[in-house]
Amino acid sequence: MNWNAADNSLTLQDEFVGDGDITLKSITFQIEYSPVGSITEYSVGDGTGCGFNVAVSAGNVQEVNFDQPFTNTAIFVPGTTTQDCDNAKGFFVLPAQYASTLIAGMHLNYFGARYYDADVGIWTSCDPKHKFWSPYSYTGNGISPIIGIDPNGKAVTIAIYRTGQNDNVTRGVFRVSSDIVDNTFTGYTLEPATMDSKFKLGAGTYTAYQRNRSARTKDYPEGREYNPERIQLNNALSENGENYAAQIHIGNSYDDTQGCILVGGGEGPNNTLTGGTSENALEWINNIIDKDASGEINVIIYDEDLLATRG
Amino acid sequence: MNIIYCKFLICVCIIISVIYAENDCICQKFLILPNENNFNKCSSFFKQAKENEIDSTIEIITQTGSLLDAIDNQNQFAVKLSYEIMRFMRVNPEYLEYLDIHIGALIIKNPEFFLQTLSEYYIDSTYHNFINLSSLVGNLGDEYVDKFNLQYKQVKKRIYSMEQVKSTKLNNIKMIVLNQLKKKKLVLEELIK
Repeated sequence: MNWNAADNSLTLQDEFVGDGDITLKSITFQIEYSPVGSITEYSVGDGTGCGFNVAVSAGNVQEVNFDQPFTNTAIFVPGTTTQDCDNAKGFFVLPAQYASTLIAGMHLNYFGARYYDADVGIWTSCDPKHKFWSPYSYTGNGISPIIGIDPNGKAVTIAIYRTGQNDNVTRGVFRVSSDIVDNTFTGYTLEPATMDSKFKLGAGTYTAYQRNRSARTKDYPEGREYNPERIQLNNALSENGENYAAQIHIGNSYDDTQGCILVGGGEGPNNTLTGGTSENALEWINNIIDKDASGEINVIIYDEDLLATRG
Repeated sequence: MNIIYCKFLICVCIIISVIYAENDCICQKFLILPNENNFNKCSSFFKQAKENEIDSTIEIITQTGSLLDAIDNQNQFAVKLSYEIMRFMRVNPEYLEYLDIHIGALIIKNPEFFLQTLSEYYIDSTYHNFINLSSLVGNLGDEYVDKFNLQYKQVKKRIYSMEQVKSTKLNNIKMIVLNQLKKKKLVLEELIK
């Protein structure tokens, strides 16, 4: 093994990898940065036995020990349950301080906070604050990792996970987080259901903005008719693929929305968001957006079937 | 020849512009003067226009609070035009929410007027009705959010107001509205107990 700090390249010799050269796409340290001057060992892997340990000292990789021998076809998939290292796929990313350039021979695109592997169409790691449980959170379920972007991992993310629906209500949970602000907030959502005559957002990723900062609010004299605290989604699409203007706003029941997403801190009986919590929930979201101050908001909506596949 | 062709194109462009401007004006005139004549013109336009023309015209209407003000003033043509907008709205659910709030407030202000205008547009069918009745009678507005006791009192007031309507020809629609309000009252009772 040879670590070249000049170009951040890592070369692994045969003797480290068992039978043949490894095709190493990159290395992920599940990241706690190494204090300068000390040696810190990082375990890399998904807990299934397909992984390796890396020792780092003063910013240099000192040692790599594989838990199991890899072959030159071994690629590793975080989040999978396979024990078959020969057929697994590997996505490993250097920690940020080593990641100014790509490791030679890899086909990854660096976006500032993490890599995107165009070959397989996926980010190679979670964003630095680990808002998502795996890179797969960005993909599948109609969500493109290219157009459904958080390209630098620094936007505020409002992730909405739909959990089920009855005749007229779609219920869900949401989590708002920021790479800059430590606070996160989790709550509940209500939307119209699929078969209802109202609008319903299609799953996917949308950029958004705070209405109270938008010029558009000024179009409405006195601000009476339109609540400026709403969070407006850009280019929102209905389940039928038609454009419409959707927002996240306060409300307690199905009656309070014609196609927007209601948020609340508690869930009540009969498909309600319980008292005293909806305004607080929106305030929490706005507070995190304000503190983040990046001006970037992504709203990601996951359909129920994604949760089903997660078990 | 080219000059003639260019002049022809310019004329076509002008005619198209005038038609579009006229369409916009039809409903803008209603916002300025919400009377029967302007309502009929605007309503006819909705029935004949293409989807994108309707979308842009509704967008113009939603840019001001004029229609909502006219509803508050119990202008029957404003309420009727609101139901037309509900029928054709494809892009702005937020405006529908505010139509619900303003029209729903008429239940207490003028219950007979509310039922009369609703009866002209309401279809008692889940799959054909463009009016979502539970939101029309149950969306009380942002100031009631999280305040279930206030919501409960307001719904009880609306029920009482409906019960005061004695017109037999409005009895069917009254019972439909009352049924919806009583459902909401039950939900609220469970929340506040």
